[in-house]
Amino acid sequence: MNWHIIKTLISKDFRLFFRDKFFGIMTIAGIILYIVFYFIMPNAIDETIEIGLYAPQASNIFYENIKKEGLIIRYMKTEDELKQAIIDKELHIGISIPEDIQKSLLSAKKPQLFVYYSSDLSDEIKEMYTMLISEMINEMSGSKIDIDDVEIVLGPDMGGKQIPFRDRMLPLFAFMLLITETMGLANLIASELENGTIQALLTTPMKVMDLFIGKGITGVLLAFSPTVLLMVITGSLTQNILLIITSLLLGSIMVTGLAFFIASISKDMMSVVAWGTLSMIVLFIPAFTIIFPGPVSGWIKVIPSFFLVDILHRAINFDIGWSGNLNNIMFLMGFNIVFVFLGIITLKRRLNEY
Amino acid sequence: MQELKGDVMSTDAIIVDNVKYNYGDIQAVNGITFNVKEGEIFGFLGPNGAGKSTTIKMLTGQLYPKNGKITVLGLDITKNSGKIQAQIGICFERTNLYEQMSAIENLKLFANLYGVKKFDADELITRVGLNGRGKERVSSFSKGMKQRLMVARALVNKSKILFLDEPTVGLDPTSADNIRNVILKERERGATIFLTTHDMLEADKLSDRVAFINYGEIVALDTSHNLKQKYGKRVIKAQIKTEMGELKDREIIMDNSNTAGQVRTLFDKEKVVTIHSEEASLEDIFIQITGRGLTE
Repeated sequence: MNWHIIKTLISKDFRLFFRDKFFGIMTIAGIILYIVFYFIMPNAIDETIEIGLYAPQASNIFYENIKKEGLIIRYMKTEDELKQAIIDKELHIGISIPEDIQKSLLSAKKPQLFVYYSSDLSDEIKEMYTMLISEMINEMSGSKIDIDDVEIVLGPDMGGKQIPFRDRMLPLFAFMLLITETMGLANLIASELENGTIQALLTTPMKVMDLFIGKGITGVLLAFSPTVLLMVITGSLTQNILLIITSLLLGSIMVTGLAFFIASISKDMMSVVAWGTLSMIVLFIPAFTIIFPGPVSGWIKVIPSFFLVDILHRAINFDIGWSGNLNNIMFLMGFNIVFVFLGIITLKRRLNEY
Repeated sequence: MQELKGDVMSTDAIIVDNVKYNYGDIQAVNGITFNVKEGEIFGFLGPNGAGKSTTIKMLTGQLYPKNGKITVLGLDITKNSGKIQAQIGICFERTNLYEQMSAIENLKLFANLYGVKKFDADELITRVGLNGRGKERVSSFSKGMKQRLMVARALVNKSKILFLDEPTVGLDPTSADNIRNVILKERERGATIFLTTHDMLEADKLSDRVAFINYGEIVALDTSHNLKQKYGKRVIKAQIKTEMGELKDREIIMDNSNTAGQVRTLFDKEKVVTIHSEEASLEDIFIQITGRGLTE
């Protein structure tokens, strides 16, 4: 191993990377845009629910009763006004209370309420609103079921401090930067193979191992630096710093292995972009499960990027440290070995063709 | 042809001993044996697919022979390719420069890889006739300029052996002449030059010895003078004018017992317009030996 040669190779690759208009601009624009997107997105979640209400005969006591935390009531002058607000999507739900409701309640008759929903509400949301309205009516009628409910939060209590959308997107932004650099490195290697410059390099005192180490370090630096920069500028490196840095480093090594593989099966920039995009589509899926949370299907855990984005999500958004991420780290390291090994084997086979 | 200096040529820079190489079922090189002396310009000629590139790849450590032995600068290529590569320079047939880098950056990169200290890129740029273009990106260069830069790159480490694969291809006559002078200067410096070319006049002019390779085998190896003596026929070519006013060619083989009589008869019976003697070219000799042309 000759460090002077490796250093020369890295310096040359960085120069060529940023002279490639496409990948150079993509990298710089990517960093800037993801940071801008992050900061222009809201940094809090609006947890209030607004409900339209038309209740011409209701008394002040009634209004006092339906006031709940996080609930905003917009009073409408007419039922038509209420309906129009829902049709125009200004409101998603509206309640029309008949004029004789109090009379009906006092005479133990079953009153009839009209609940208007906007057309784009899902059944689950409609059901949630129906339950909310039932509870409100129960409180108004004084027939609330007298039970003590004990609320226990398992895991970090996020009540009142929901994760802003931008923080859910942060692992995706980081992974997008990693993939962009993957394609950049793959393009560098593929063009060396295509133009025959690799042949010129390998007939100098440079050994194949020097070449792999040089390209590997270039790839890791290209992927690692922008993601760390993203984390620093977005203020995400305030807790679990070492864990986040380690996971980004492991992610960078993984995508470098992927870049070797893509380069070995590509002939030019177009095929690099094609294979890169295909990889991107698959590897992005886990990041979307963080943006739109729900039960994660088992098969998503087969996608190597899951373990990286899950570590980032847990460390940044839930302050979960090493012990809570140990499994993820182990899986990520395992996938790293597979990717790097696969990349080196396939690229070495391609080199042998020259 | 250049005069060989006996004391410089006393040792062999390259020894190739019964070397074979095959790509699957295709026998690219089939038991070739030759040596290249130190300070010699060795012309290696053959048509496409004859085994030239495979031989060069083996001599430069890009491929290892499947049979036989190659010794370069006294070292076995299979065991010391790294050490050998540090002491050789290669100009590839295919242009393989970093197009997004300038000419000087390309040269400095390779000087760094070879660990050359006090490297003067401008001097090398001037030597190959690219004065004033060193800072321009290679992508803006013409094919000929790129070819000159390829030659310059092969010179960055002041190598002991230079492998030049078609170094003047695509160059205009002046530039080609410039490169030939560079090659001769390198030989004066003491470098051994392994030259492949399709240009028979160039091979003839530059090479101390030439080897013909055909279907993976060396079919002839000697100085071009000796090859011409052995295989070539000297002829007298004349152009005559017939009574109808037409121009026709006549050819008389020299060195025959009745050559003088044939020449006399020609002048007695025909109206000779032009007459000159002609030597066989290396191409003619190659065709005579192999039955195929060098440009096939």
